[in-house]
Amino acid sequence: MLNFNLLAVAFTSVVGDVQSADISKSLELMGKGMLGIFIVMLLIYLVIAILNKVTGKNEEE
Amino acid sequence: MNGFGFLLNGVLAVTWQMLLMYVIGGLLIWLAVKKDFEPALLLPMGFGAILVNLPLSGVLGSNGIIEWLFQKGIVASEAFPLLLFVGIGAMIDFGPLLSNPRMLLFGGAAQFGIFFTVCMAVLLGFPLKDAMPIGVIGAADGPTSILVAQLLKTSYTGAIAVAAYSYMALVPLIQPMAIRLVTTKHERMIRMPYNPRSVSKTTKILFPIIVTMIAGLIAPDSVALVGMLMFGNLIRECGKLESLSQTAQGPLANLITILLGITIAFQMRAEVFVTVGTLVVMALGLVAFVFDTIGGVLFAKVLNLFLPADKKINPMVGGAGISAFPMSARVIQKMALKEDNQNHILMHAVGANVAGQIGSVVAGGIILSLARLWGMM
Repeated sequence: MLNFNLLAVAFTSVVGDVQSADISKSLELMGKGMLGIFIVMLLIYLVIAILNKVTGKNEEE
Repeated sequence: MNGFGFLLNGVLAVTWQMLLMYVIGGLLIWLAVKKDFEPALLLPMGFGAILVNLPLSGVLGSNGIIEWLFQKGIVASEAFPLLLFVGIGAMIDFGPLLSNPRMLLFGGAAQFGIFFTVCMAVLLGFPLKDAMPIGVIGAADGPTSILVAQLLKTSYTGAIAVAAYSYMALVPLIQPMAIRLVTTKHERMIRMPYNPRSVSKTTKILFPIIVTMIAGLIAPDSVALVGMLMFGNLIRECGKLESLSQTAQGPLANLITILLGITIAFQMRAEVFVTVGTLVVMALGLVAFVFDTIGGVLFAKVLNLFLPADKKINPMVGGAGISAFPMSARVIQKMALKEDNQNHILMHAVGANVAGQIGSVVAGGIILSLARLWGMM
């Protein structure tokens, strides 16, 4: 198990105190962020596929 | 002689931190002029860095032009980065992406470096509200970096802008190094036939409208970024506003670029810029760029595990899913030709690259949405 308190001591001198609450939030951000981007991208993918199908057919006609 | 002492007031007020900023300003101008590194942004920023660090500078304060531009153009409305997006949107042809939409996945995967870097920044002691915009440097998207930094009110806006634009100029050096780290020669030689579908005008017109609605409904904080980008693109694609499209791509983008560079220099005042944090931000920016590229490449390699032999993706195309357009696509094509002088993957890389434009603004919007949810803005 990662001991966040030890990390806090080790990195205090670089730019400030490490907040263990921020560590868990940053991991949450990574999970939700990547998932969110992929959801948006997949939706756009679907929209393009539908648009290509519908408008492509119309133009052929 | 005592009566002329006022002439020395400025000279005597110079600090070593200000002298360092003159050197940094000079370095940015040198990189812009001599090395051709994003000259449109680095030159105004370099000159601005000197300007705002002159003692008792008249460009600062309530009547100072730089401070006024910063307060009105960035703090009050985020107008400069957002208006620049109208110009960028008018410059982008989404055709290669619309004819090959699976490239969108790489525009998503190549944002990994942003979130990885946020974690690294937090581990180095940055508060989350500073770590988030530091990660966005990896988007390779200057306006988004500046916007997120400003909305989260980080004191590192200057360093973030310098890092974003400097590393963007260094894409031809950073990306090949990162890609070689995680690919074999055999993988870099994978050929990808290009059989583009024709894209109707209706699709090109509906695309920016629908993307704005999707992004706005799922990540409302991205709507300003995505909306301005797609507004510019709609002007380009509608076919009726050629003059406006040319104005957005040329004069508008140029005017905003001039003002944005010198305005961002407000955050390069010695008292906020000369810190250990700035150096760490610059290092983390490099980490973000490298891991964005690696994220895209590794995602392509994972996809290849499930694809038949004749449909394999050259993993380098995944690395083009960042926002540095069209530089990244060109770098990938150059690398492909170096391994096999008949391997033309440019159009695939361009598709991934424009997907990266969308991915980076969506990533910025999602970060802002979560920051709002967590009460940070």
